[in-house]
Amino acid sequence: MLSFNLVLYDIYECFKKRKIWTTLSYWDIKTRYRRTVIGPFWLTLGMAITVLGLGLVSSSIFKISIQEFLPYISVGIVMWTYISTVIVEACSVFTSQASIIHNVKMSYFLYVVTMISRNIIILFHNMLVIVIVFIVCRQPVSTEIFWFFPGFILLIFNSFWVSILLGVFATRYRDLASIVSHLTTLTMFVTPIMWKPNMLEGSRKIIATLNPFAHMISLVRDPLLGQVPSLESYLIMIGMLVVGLALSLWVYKKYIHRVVFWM
Amino acid sequence: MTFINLNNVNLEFPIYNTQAFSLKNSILNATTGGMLRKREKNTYIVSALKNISFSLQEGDRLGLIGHNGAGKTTLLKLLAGIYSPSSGNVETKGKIATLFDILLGARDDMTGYEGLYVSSLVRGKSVAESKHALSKMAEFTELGDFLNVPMRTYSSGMKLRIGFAVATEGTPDILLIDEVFGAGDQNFVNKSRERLMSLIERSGILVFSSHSEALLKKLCNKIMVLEHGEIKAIGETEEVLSFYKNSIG
Repeated sequence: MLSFNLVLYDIYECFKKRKIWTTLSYWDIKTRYRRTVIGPFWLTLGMAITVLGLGLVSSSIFKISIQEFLPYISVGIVMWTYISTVIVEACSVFTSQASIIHNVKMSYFLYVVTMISRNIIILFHNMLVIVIVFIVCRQPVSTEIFWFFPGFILLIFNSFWVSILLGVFATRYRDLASIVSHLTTLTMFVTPIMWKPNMLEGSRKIIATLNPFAHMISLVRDPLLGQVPSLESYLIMIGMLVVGLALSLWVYKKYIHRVVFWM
Repeated sequence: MTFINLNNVNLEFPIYNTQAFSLKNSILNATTGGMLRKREKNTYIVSALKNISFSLQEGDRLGLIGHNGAGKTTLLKLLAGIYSPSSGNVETKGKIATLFDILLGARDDMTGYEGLYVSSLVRGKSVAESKHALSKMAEFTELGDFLNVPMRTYSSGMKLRIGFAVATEGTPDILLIDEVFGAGDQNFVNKSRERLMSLIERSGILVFSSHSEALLKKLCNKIMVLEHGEIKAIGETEEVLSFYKNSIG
């Protein structure tokens, strides 16, 4: 088991070597879209097509005008894409770097941060779709938009502890990656992304109130749509962050030096 | 002050019998390797290193010898900080460089230049150091205009040049080498040997595993014989090598 000082040192090393993971995540994206004409904007274009398609279907199912529904659905899908990609990639965050882990000693946080920063870059490309949708649909933007930032910070920080936990345990238990990827697909449908929480009736409302992803999405979606998220959502996500961070640091301290033997 | 200090180090690790791991390999190794014992259903414990104690100071060149699976690579990975001991203390001071796998961090869709740069970062150099060393490394590879071409078009020898150029750049305090590699055409082999020798000269401490007695004699002032994860002998090169020759008959 590592001492807690070593965990802190690993975090410090990760901060000190920030140039390395920013470079690595940049190269991940750059090489992925090399030789394509529009490069990483394929991300934007692909997301635009998804949003438009799902927006058309959902708005006709729920009989809401597309102009009203598209801004809602675009934010939801863009944010959900970030969340689900991080969760799925977290399961291979260490195994995919096995060749490096077996050759040089680096803080394990570095691999997590590389993966998350890569997905943040992708998220920024995808957020262009939100901007375009808002302009096309003439969605008004009000000062409530500043509530987006605390929500966004909670989103990023919550992805850290989730990635550490999934990264460690999915390396040890190889079935976890498959379980997680199937559950993630299911979660998208029980989270208010393509539908609104107020469409649920009676006791079914708990699908949205008990679902932490619903609260997470609402923290970054509501401000863009001119609403202040509920205090309850903030408290739940702050609570998850505190408990999750503590748990993940404890797991890191206890198990991280065994990860190399599990690969 | 550069040093390596190992005190009563033991290293055990589990091998899980799932499809993800090739158990066949570890059983095959068992005949020549460390101790393997069954813990519970589907789990094996390998005692890879047992009661290892030694220390090295600046200027020491230690050669590791022993048959396959005796623990040479495991010991090198332990010194590199990649493995942590199950018990005992490992203390090292100084900047560590490893030569285990030669090509590291570079990917096929990068050009040669990009491969050099990213690989250098992965090997722990700063951005400034990597940029600074880039032209020197590029020159060493002798790949010329090919450095602007994606590495997927490279032959394995060309890729090795990229990896080797990065791996042998800089001045480490502690240099850990697992076996010696010789690939590429004859001209490059000579050139890379020269570069490797100068890297070894610059390094503070060398720990080097090899099966070649000639190389060990040439490079090392100390030899350690490993067998089943234990130190069988450690001491002056000539003395230990003759002991080793006698012991394997």
